[in-house]
Amino acid sequence: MTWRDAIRLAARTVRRRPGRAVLTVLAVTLAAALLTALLTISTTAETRVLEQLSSGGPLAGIKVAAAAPDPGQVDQDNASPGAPKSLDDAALTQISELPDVREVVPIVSSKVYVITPARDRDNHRIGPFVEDLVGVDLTRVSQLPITPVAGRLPSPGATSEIAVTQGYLERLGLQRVDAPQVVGTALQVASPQVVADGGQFRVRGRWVKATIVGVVAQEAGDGQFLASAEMVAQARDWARAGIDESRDLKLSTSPYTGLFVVARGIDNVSKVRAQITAIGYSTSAPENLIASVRRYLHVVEIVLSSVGIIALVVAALGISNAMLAAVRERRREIGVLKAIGARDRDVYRVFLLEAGTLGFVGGVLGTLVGWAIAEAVGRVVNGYLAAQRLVGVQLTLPWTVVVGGIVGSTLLALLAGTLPAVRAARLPAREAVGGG
Amino acid sequence: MLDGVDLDVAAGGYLALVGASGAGKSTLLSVIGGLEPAQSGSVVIGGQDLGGLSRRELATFRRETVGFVFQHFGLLEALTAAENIELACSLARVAPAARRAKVRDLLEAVGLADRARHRPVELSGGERQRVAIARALANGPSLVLADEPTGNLDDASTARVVTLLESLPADHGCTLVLVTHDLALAERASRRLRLRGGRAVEETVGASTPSGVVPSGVVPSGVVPASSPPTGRGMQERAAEPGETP
Amino acid sequence: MVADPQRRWGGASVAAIGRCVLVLFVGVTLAAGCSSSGGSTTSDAPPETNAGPGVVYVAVGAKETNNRDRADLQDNWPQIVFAESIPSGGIYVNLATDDATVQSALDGQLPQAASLHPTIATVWVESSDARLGTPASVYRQKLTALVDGLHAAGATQILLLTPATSTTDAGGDLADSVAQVAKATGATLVALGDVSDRADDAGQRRIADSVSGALRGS
Repeated sequence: MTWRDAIRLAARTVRRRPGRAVLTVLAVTLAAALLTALLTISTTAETRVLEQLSSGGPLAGIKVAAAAPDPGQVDQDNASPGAPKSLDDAALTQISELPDVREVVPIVSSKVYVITPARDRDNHRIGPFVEDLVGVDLTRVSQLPITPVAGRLPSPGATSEIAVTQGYLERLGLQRVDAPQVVGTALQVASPQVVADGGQFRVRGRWVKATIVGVVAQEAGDGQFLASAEMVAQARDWARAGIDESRDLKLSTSPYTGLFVVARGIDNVSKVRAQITAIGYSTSAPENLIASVRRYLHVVEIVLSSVGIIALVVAALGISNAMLAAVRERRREIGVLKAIGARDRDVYRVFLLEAGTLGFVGGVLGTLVGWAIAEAVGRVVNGYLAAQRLVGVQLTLPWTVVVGGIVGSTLLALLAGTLPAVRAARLPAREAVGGG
Repeated sequence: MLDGVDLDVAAGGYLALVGASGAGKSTLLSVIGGLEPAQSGSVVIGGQDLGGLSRRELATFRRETVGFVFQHFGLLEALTAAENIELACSLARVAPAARRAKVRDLLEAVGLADRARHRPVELSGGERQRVAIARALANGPSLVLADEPTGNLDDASTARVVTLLESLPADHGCTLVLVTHDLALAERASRRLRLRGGRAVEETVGASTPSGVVPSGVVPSGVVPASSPPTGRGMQERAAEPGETP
Repeated sequence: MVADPQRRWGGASVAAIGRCVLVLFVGVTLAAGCSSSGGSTTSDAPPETNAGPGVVYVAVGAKETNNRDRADLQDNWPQIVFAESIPSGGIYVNLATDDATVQSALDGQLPQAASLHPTIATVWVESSDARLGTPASVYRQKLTALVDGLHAAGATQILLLTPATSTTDAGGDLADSVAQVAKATGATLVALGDVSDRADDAGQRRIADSVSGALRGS
């Protein structure tokens, strides 16, 4: 009997007994669904946790400060920087050319005066204050640990749009859930310039009426305002045009305030940090924390996988039981098959394929159902997170889970069907004949 | 259980095994057909001693040499009439195109060409048994073993099935061994062997059978080779008589 | 022919299972496509602001514009004008110096203003000239040059501010001179009236309202 004929006979036989087939497939489906849902949720949770640890940016992200490294802090996740050191294009190029560096995003910042029309919790006017305006290339914002929780990020190149951080909300006495309230409001933002006035020096501001277009969950650099690199460049140029380049204001003279470096993979972070330290700059990255968390999450994944696999094994035992019962019920049919010339191997093949069919169908259905369950859970969680003005989760269904669920279910079913198939194959052909 | 049954059947012959229930008729049939081994003695079919065959060789013997017709019809419920016959061809590794042609011819020969796509549960008892006969002939056997083929049939179906079976030796050159408890049916065979308690107690030869015993292993001339499809002559059922129910 | 209920049901069940699988697959695919993602925009994002050239407002003047004697920057009239009358994206620079005269404004503030490419300018440079006794003709000439210079730098709205009365005897002529220059150059004259309360927030607010009103009207 060819495999094709055996598959057809097996499929027809499964269809012939729909009640038993549906129940058996249901058991496999539930088990595969459990496995798929658990692994999807755990993978997503792992991604989310690691994203939080990396502040929403790439896991392999490293912050480089315009400062020399502090020898005692080199291996720390949040290393304190040493003495200030100019971070210029030469350093940026040198770091970009490191073999394990995938991308380098420069960060610039400038001190600004801010006038806000907002009032605090007691309805008192908030006086002008000084804050850092942090500028990044917004065309590469996906590489940075920046996530909007209300509104949007400033448009690339925009010179009058800013995003604010949690710190600004706290200044106004607002909670994270109140973030949408500040979106759309206008601020007056000025970069300072030292000028002479009647024999004295004073500070003149170049004021920009900027619109708050969004609220972000993290800080790209030290500062409550995020803008385009172009807007910050205008501010810095204005300041440098002052007397003695406005040095009296003690503004940073480093061309770049910092860099955000993305390594080629999380396993290269330590190496890249060491290389940047050797170049002469202080770095920080949550690599130790991420490594520890990854180990714990791996254990969680193993435990969840075990639960799912145990469920699959139980379902497979159900297949075995159902197939053994089928062999007992179909003794005469098996005898007839042998009477008309089927070899033991042919009978074995048919019964094994019946078991495999049940496992395969259950695996496919279970993967779909499991994904749907994970999606439903994700929607509920995202609804809660959105209400709390927190960043939502993005479900990820690894292809390995899909393939593993289907293939695993099928293989387990084949394994479960082996004993019944052997029993069927060994049945004597005389079972076809009644007593005479 | 059989005890001392000594039997020679000529090629192309028609033997009926009769006896009460438990006499050993089906057991003898099983031994002849290679469904069950003889505990002692030998079984030689067409010069082949079944005692020395492995399970695989016995399967080959059953597939190529024997065609079975069971009282319970023995059709696979999950398959259609055509697919049941095709299954036998599949076991013999016949190519798909040749299979389809053979199935078509066989169904025509048993008068069920229009029932090819029906499953056994949609067929009457007589129709199922005719499909079983067609399946038994699928691989051109030289020996057809029928175990109470009319046991579950009504009179009309019995008549048609019996006519079909009795035409096999003449039309296909195969030897027919039929087990029945119906003496009237047994009377139609060229030879009858009565069994009682596993022993052969009486053997009679009918008028349609040449006298004397044809040595086993001798194949009469005119036997259709096993690989050829059945001829239409003799397999066409006679037209129903007026008033006779089909 | 005997019909087989079990087979019918079995056949229907397999077809039903197949349909369920298809619906489930399509549903999951659609749900996956519609699932929320991180992205850079949330549902309450404001529209993108246009990238066209914004308003550049420069304030040219003396101590009345500089307001160094006042504590609260955001209550100074130029800041109020910027906050309330200049649209988002606008830029404002206060070039005023305490002792500015029309000559020093012409020499120092005009070049700085020109570098900023102003679209709106307020000019209030009278008190120092009044104190120093700058002749009205000279004042008119210099002020005209200042206004012309601002025009040349791109300003389309130039407001010349003047109090109704001046602090010195020469002030009356200077106020007239401002009015004459406004008429001659097409600038907008903003008569502020009595500005003796300039040091107060209320006075600053009044000045700002006058200027804002003139901006809306011109």
